[in-house]
Amino acid sequence: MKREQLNGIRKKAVATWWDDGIVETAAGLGILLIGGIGLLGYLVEGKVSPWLYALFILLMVALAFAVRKAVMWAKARWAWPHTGYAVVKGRSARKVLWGFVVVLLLLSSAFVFPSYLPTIGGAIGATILLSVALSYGLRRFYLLAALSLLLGVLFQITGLEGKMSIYAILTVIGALEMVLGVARFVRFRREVVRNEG
Amino acid sequence: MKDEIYSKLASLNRLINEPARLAIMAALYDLEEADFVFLHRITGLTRGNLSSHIYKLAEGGYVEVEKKFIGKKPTTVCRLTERGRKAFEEYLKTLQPLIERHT
Repeated sequence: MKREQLNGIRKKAVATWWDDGIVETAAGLGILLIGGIGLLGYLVEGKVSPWLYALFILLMVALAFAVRKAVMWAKARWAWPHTGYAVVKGRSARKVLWGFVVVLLLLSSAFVFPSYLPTIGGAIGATILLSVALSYGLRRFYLLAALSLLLGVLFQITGLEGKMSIYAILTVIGALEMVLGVARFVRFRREVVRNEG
Repeated sequence: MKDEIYSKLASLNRLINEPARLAIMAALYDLEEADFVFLHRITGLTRGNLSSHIYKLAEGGYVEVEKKFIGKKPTTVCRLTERGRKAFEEYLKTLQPLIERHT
């Protein structure tokens, strides 16, 4: 068996994890919530009690932990009965560490050049999205990465405030990822119905 | 050079060097675990074939097989063991390029 054939099988096995759009929808919703709440907090800054704001942040952290469980539940209900059960492996500790180093480097550049926060924020988003695209061979994530960088540059040019631009990028990317996920889920369900009569 | 090739071929991992078993190991490599239905779909093997090859891989200590409930449904899941993972990596790194070059 040739290496290309083996790689083809590996890609097909991993692609199944993303084919139903459930992971993308959940991740998009999570990013949208973080960006949306950040944006809301920014707009009403000083008008809302800091305790209430801290409670929101705690709720977000709890939600992040609940996302995996929710994904498993949704997959068990709508995907696995048709595709068979499979759980993709998490990234290796080395890859995670490298990811942290790159993001930390980019973040530290935000302290050195605070006036370039929108561009740096867009670049961090693009880096994370690119790493997902490369790891799982997902072409649509290249588009999201390009959009993240483009938004960062656009907000920089238009002079949008740094923190506000980061929240705006998160909100737009999260919403778009969620829409892509839902569209993929609808297509997946249609295909399942068509294939299984 | 030829001696080196022959010695490598002689030490070829016979358990892995079989298309069906290679396909199963490739499918499981990037996954935590998967059930028979999934492996049947991805590898295109018949259920009987799949079952016998998984049994052989399990015997060799390359794959773990476990019965568990996914939701309310009993399922047989398979996962690569550390030994299986290393054997597959070794196969890809050393033996497979050799086989491709000489076939």
